[in-house]
Amino acid sequence: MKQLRKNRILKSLSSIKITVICLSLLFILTLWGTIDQVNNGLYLAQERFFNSLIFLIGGYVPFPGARLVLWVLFINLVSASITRLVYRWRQAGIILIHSGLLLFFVAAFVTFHGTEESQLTLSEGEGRNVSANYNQWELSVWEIKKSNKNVFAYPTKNFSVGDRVEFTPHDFSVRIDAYYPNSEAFLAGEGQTSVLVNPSNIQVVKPIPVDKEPERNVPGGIFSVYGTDQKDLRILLYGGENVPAIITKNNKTYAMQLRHKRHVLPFILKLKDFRMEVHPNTEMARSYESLVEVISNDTSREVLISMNEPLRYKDFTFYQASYAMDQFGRELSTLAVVKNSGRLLPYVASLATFAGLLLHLILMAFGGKKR
Amino acid sequence: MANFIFLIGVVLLMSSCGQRPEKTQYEEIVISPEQPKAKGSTTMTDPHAFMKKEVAATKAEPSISWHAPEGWEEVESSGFRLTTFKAGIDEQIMECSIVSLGPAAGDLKANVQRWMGQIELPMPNEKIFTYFMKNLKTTPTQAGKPATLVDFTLLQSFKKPMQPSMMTAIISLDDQTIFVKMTGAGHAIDFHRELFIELVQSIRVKK
Repeated sequence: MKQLRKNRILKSLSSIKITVICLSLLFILTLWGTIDQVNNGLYLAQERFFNSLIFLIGGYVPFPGARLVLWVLFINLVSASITRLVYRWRQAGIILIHSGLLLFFVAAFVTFHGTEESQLTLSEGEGRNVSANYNQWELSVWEIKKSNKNVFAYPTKNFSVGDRVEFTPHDFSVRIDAYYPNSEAFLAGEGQTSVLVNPSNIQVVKPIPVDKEPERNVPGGIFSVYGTDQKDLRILLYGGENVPAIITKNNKTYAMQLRHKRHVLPFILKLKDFRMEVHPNTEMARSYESLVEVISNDTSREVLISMNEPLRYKDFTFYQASYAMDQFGRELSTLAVVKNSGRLLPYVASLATFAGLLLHLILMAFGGKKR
Repeated sequence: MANFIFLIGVVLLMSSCGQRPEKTQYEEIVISPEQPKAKGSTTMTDPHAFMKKEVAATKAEPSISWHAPEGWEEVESSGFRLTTFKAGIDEQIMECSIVSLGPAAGDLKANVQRWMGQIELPMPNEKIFTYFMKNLKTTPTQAGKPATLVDFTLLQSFKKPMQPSMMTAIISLDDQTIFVKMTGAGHAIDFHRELFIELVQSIRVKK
């Protein structure tokens, strides 16, 4: 430890100047990002200012994003903890404050990498163990049979033309011939022969500019499939279809679909009843609530989710988000699903920092004469 | 300042590894809601009852029969309907009915226009409509006469998958005209199209 404290690199990294620069940059980024979201939407502002390592101002001038600044600040704080902190009982408060601050970084890391936001729409009597992401998509393949779907999927986020993805269990592979994060689809024109396989007879998919609201983007792509019964099989998939293309291989039938990325819940959520109250003499909803059954490992329990009372179970929180009615009068309830593995960490970090401040105050107040 | 730039370089280097698509594997479980049962329907004790079953028309003077597609639930019918099916969950919910009318049940174009009105589908320009009518597909049936298939999703935008849509089949027999009509959202029609055609193909005249 003594050697580490004398390490020149660590000493340089623990410079207070780095702390000041980083805190100034965070101030600028927070202010800029908050103003920018008014014009460009929350998601784009979040991606540009807070989730990026570096972004370009005006397309040319690089500027550090909050992700990079936070990493630098974290390293700076760890270095300072090693080289500058004095580990004595009298300094316990300061050490606890620094531990609390470091825990904030850990909480931010866990939240950034461990949080998933999705939604789950159920009709009365229906249950599911998967929720759908709002804006991320996946290329899914499953065998069509009576039992549950065993799905193999690749997230489309990093798809680029020429990539080849393997569906090993089914022994076939897919090459990405074209992929557009936002697209428009068109039917076969008059006299045009169908070259591409598509369940809805779509023959053309064209790219359009990516919308600043990611939920509005509908991807499309053309995929060559190798190793099936059909030779030279090229499939066109469009995210707006909600119906899979069919592939056959060795008397087995498979479905392939471009769909919202699914998140697996470690339990099944079943909607038992949905209730809605309206304001008198209007059709405006006053309150709505979903009575759900949480089925997990042969046990089940009923929970009522209402607008201000979410269900918290394991790492998941289910909020009552919206409702709808289908054309047959069946009520549908949509629950917003948030998975956050580190949701308690910020509270622990705050508590540690507060305790550190209090301890330091007490030690300073009662140990002052020793100076 | 030099320290700060050095530190930025280290962080960027650490995070510069490329990201390749990573495969995920999961089991998707869906508990389907219970379908409403038709009045007078009997409990199925046949262990193979979940497979295709033959359903005979139970209305007055039934003259045709058909195979109910797997997973389609028969519900109570009224009026001219010989039977009604419901199937699907979520966006894939649809209703399908079979109706038998007399041999002179209106010409095809008039019926198509009437159905377009039912789903509030605006009339396309003359060229597109003519092309649409000219390219209607047919499929053989066990009744001995082909069925003409009218798929209205072909006239609708894929950007509006929840738009009401319809697919119909018309079988002109000597003494009657059979109409099979499936209604639901656009992609519900997409989802059930093959089973619908299977149902149409299974229609036959009872001897």
